Amino acid sequence: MNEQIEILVTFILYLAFFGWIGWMRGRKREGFTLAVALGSWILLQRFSGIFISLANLGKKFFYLAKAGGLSSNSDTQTAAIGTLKSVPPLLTAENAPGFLFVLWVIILILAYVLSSKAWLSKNNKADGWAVLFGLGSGLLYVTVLLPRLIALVVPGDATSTEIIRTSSALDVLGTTLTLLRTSLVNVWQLVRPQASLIILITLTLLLVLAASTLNRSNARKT
Amino acid sequence: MGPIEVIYSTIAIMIALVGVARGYARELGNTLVIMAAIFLLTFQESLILNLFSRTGQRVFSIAGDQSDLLNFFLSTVFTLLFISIVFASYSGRVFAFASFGGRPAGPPHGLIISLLVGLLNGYLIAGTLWYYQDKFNYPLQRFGLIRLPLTATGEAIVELLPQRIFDSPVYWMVPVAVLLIFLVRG
Repeated sequence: MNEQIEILVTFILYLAFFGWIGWMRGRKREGFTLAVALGSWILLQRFSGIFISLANLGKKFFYLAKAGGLSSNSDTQTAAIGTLKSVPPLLTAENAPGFLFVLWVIILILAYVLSSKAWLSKNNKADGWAVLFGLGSGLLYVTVLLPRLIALVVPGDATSTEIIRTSSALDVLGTTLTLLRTSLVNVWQLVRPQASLIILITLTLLLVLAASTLNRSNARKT
Repeated sequence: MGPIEVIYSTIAIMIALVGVARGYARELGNTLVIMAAIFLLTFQESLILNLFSRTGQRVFSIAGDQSDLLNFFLSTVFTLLFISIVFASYSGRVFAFASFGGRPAGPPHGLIISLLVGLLNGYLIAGTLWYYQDKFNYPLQRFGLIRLPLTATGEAIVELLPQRIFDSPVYWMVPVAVLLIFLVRG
C-alpha cells in the first residue's frame, strides 16, 4: 500500500516537474520539442528499415571511397566495387535498436538546441498549452527511457537486455496507467472511511477553482 | 436496451458535452441550481412522498395493493419535479455567472474546467434520474426501457448516486453557499 502511494506521488512529482519545465520554456518551444521528439520516435520505429539501410549504405560508400571507388580509373573502380561484397553491414538485427535509439537522442538534443533559438521566442507564451506540452514530453520520455533506466536497478545484463528488447513504449505506458489506477484505488480504500468529507472538499475545490478563473476584468456589464 | 449504467452514463456524457459547448461560466449557474434541487428534494423527500402518495390514491384512484402503479406515479412525480428545476436553470438567466460578470478562461485549462463542470452536471442529473428509478424499484422496467437485474458495476454505482454519497443532504448546500459567495463578491 505504502509503496503504491510512493509510486503515485513520485509519478505526480515527475509530471509536475515536466509541466513546470513546459511553463518555463513556453508554448512554442515546448510544442516544437514535443512534436520533433514524438514525430521522430514514431518515424524511427515505423520506418526503421529505411534508416538501417541508409546507415549500411553509408558504411559501404565509405569503404568504396576508401578502396578507390571514386577514382577516375575504371579498373580501380571495378576492384573497389568488388571489395564491397566482403564488407559486413554496419547494423544487424542485434545492434539496430541501439542505433535507432542513439539517433533519436541526437535528434532530441538538436530539437532542444534549435528550440532555444530566437525564431521560437517571438510570442512564446507561458500558458496551459505550454504545461500540457511539457506533460506530454514527460510522458514520452518515461515510456522511452524507463526500460533503459531499469538496467540501473535490475542486476544482471541478461535481464536488463531482455527488458529493453521486449518492452515497447505502448507497453510501458499501459503498465504505468495500470499502476496509477491501482494506486488510486488503494488511496481511495485508505480514505474511504472519510469518503463523504473527501468528496465534499474535492467538489467544493473544483467549483471554487472554476469560479475563481472567471476573468472579471473583461466582463460584460449587464 | 443495454445495462442501466450504459443508459445513464450516455445521458451524463451528453450533458457533459453540452457543458463543454456552453462553457463553464454558464454551467456553474446550472450546477448551483441542480445541487440546490437535490438538497430540496432529498431534504423534503418524506413530505413530498406523503403528499403525492395521497394525491395518487385520491385523484388517480390508485389502490393500496397497486404498489407498482404507485411507484411508477411517484417516480414520475419526483423525476418531473427535478427535470422542471433543471430545465428552468438551463432556460432562465438566473444565477448565470456569465451574466453577473466573468468570462471563462481560454483553452486548454478553460476547456478542461468546462469538461469537469459538465461531467459534474451530467453526474448530478443522470445520477438523480437513476436514483428515482432505484428508489421506486425501477418502474420503467414495465415498458422494457430498463433491464434488470443490475450488473456488478451497476450495483457499485448505485451506492455512489448523488443522494447517497453524503450522510445528509445538507452537505450539498456547502458548495452552493461557496458558489453564492463567489457570485456576489465584487
